[in-house]
Amino acid sequence: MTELIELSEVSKHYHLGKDIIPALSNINLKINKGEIISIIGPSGSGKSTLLHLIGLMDHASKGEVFYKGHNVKKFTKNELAHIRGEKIGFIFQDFNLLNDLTIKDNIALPLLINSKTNKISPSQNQKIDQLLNQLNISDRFNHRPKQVSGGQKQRAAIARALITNPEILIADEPTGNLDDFTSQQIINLLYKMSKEQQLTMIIVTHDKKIAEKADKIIEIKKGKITKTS
Amino acid sequence: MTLALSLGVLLMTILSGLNFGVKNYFLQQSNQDKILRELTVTPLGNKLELSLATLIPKAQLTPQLIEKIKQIPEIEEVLPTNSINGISSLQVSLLGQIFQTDALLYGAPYQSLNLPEISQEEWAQYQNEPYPAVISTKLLDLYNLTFANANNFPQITKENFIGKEITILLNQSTFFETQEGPTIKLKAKILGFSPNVKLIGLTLPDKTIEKINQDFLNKAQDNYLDAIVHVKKPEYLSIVSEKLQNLGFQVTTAEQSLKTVEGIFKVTDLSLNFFFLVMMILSGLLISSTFLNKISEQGREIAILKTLGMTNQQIGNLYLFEASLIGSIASLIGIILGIIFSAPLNIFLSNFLSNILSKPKTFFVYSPILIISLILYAILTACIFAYIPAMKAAKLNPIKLLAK
Ligand SMILES: Nc1ncnc2c1ncn2[C@@H]1O[C@H](COP(=O)(O)OP(=O)(O)OP(=O)(O)O)[C@@H](O)[C@H]1O
Ligand SMILES: [Mg+2]
Repeated sequence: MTELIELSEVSKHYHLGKDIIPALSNINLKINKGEIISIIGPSGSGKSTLLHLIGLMDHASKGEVFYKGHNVKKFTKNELAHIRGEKIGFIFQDFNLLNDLTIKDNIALPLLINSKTNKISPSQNQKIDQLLNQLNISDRFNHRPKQVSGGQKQRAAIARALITNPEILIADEPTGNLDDFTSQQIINLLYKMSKEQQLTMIIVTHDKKIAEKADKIIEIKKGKITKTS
Repeated sequence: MTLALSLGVLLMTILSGLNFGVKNYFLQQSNQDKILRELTVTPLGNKLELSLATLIPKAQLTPQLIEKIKQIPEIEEVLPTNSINGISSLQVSLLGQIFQTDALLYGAPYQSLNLPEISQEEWAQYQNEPYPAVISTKLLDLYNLTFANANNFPQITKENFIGKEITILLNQSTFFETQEGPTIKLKAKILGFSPNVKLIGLTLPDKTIEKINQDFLNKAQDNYLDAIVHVKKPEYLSIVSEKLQNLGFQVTTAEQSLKTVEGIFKVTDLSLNFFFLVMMILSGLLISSTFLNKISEQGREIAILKTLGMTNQQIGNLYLFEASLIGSIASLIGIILGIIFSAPLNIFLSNFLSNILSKPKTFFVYSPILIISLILYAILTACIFAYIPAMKAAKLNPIKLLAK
């Protein structure tokens, strides 16, 4: 098994004015290729903070984070941005689509950011259409995020995360803003697509049932991993 | 913001168009090939216009010396100016009134008039009354701009004067009591206005002056007031100038007077540039604050783009690109409006200065270089002042932004 991400004795705290707010302490974690991991824990326990570190969006205050064996501290800002753009897909609770762009353009955005020519190739365009079909939103491709439902927004966000063929999919409470029925659909979709494409997926959720579908469940409380199963 | 920058560019367009137009006019007037090869020879101690028959030159510009100057190989032509050897006044009926004033009478060869409206044949009619005559363009301007305005006298136009007959009264003065001989009445006719002749007085053909001196004042043409010398090539100016100085004359080149004019333009250019700098800073500060606002509003979007892999550089470039777009649109609007507005301004200026002869046909001249530099200026302003906000946007922490 190839190791994608490793966290070794990682701590993270935030500065809020003069106060230091601890968010994570002494986290040790290995994530292998193709693994599906769910993270559960009460609100404020540090789940999102952990995802940000795994997603190379933030640096640890203490300890080391390794991406494919390389210490993340050694990467330049540009290199980190490129890894985020090409190898990691993000899905958020509040979708984080750009309101001014159509659904299709939102999905194309990571390709545009990564491309040197600022153009979408015909094969990439085909891939977008394929994803729109797979996620059942092809009839809404020309609408703006405000004009579609929450479930459709999250499907668009999933398509945007998958368009670059990433190695890791990171989802922070992807169903937090959706009703039960839609949540079920979205989760099934996420698991199905990760399995099909042998994606590594890390998903934060409050829902026990959703968590239990994963290969591994990590429970954190007050910034510490309390249980792994 | 775009509007403020447009307005700035509009003002700059009009001002620099005017500056360029006026400058162009003057340089065109003086940049003729002949002028660059021109120098004026004056006997030392002769104070030209102020000589008023009282100042006696230390060295005389005699016909013999003129001949000698003509022998200098680098010289193409020598155009001497003479004047009458006595007192004279002029009588002219203008706007229903008869004016009389003391005036100097000068004589100039046709080539020194630089007045294509008058043919060589007309100027050659020096023997018969009314004698052909010209007046300095600048004299009319001077009268209209200062004298007429100050005394509430009517403005005089070119048309008032052209074709007008003037009576020359030799040996008569409105200032001096003394009379050296009997008053002699002669007639002259104004043919036009020349920028090249002596400022105060009436200029007739040099041969007419020679004839008047001989016939009525009993003096042979024994010396000249000064002479315009044209050298064969501009490079010869300094050699010829030295040779003439060695002969005991004072020499001024057209180049020197050109330098004075250029000096004045340097001052206007400098103050214009200073004004532009102030405009740039003002509209730039507006751009800065607008961009800072925009960026704090677009925090969520910036954060999303960053998580999707956009680099700091790309984020910064987004804003700089927007700034340059604003700069080019603003400058295009400003330039187009400026050019449109300068048409009525041009008519206004022409009407306002209708009596002034030494004025360009169009006050506003827009060269491609001027337009391109205005566009570049606006883009540069927008980019420079958007730079700090753009860098700020680039460095924003996406996690903090998404947490909001
Ligand atoms: N940008 C920040 N600045 C300051 N403190 C922060 C910041 N982000 C998170 N925290 C704090 O760090 C701790 C962990 O926060 P985190 O968002 O990781 O929790 P979470 O488990 O994701 O909670 P939730 O389930 O509510 O999303 C909390 O105490 C939180 O207040
Ligand atoms: Mg969270």
